[in-house]
Amino acid sequence: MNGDDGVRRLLADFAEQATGDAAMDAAADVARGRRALRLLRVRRTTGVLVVAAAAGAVVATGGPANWWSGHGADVASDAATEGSATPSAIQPYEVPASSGQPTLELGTPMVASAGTTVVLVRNTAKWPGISCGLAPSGWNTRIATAQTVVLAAPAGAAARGKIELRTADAADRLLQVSAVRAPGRLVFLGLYASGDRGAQLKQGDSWVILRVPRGQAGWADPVVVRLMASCAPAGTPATR
Amino acid sequence: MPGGDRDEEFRDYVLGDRMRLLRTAMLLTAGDRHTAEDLVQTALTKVYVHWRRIKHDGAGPYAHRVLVNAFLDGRRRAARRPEVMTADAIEPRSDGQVDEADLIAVRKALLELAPRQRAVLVLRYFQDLDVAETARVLECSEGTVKSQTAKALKRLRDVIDGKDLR
Repeated sequence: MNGDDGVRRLLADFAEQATGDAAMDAAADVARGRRALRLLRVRRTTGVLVVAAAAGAVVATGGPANWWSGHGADVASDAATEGSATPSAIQPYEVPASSGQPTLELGTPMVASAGTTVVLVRNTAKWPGISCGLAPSGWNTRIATAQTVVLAAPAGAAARGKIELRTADAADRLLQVSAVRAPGRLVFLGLYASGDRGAQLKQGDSWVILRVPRGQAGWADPVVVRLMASCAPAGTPATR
Repeated sequence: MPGGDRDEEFRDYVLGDRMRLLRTAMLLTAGDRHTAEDLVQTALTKVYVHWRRIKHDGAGPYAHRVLVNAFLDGRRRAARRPEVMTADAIEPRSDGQVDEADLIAVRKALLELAPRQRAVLVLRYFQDLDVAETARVLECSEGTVKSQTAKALKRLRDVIDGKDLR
């Protein structure tokens, strides 16, 4: 046993003897790795959420005059239909538009509120009560009646859940309402008392109302606005 | 299937390199099988997570680097809990090819080395890395590697009494 080779042999012998015929479970290593990767992605998503929440807070506190009307009064509520909060009384945040189209392009992924994205594509479905030019990609029609359409996220999608679109003679009562002007439309965004998110727009004598259950990922405001701006009660032309 | 390619490629890598990783870990831990297995699992988990990024450059060097650094980090955290030699940490195979006295002496010698010296010794004489590569793994200067190697060899020589390791 001489010099470096002697050391090498000692270490190699020790390692081999100490290790022996250790059982190898590659599947367990794969499982551990997958678990770690999942955790990492959850943490990243949480980070995005925190940043999004912080950014939202900055936006909300930075320009309340543009986003709110009536100094905290509910807008687009029952009262709105009675004329106490008409679009003319609102100083809406205006979505910049070009060529008469909504700013966000068809199918463009957008940063969503929970790290997932709902992509809107041209709607090929025909619903009896509501006509929409756009629909969330991959979502399925679960219910389609004269007043209501319920869409469900595709199985396995990151953004799971349902949304409800319906027509009504009166707007729903929403809290924390903001008004966003899409080309030719004024979309009211707000919250239901339950925490669900709501969006509604008046078309003729009817309202089109969207309800997105609380905590549902992927429905950032621009997505909601684009979808709403493409919808109208059946018989009324949708924008696209 | 999500992760299908990654799983397949990673499984192939594990089958090819896990034993060597475990042997390295056994040397670093001076035969502590449980800690060695923990280190290997830590390294392999990181390899899986970063598979897309590292697979082209070779997962092996990355895994061994993670393994060594995980060991050093662990020893730093456990600095107030010195390793103790226990009777059942290793169970040498009795196939007559290796002198069990040698194994016990090597283990004792490894235990007497500082963690960084042990790492240097393992990287230089088990992994066969040169001074520059070892310095990169340990993120230290080549001079440090040389001096640590010399000290480690001296300690090893002192402990393995009667063995010619020069």
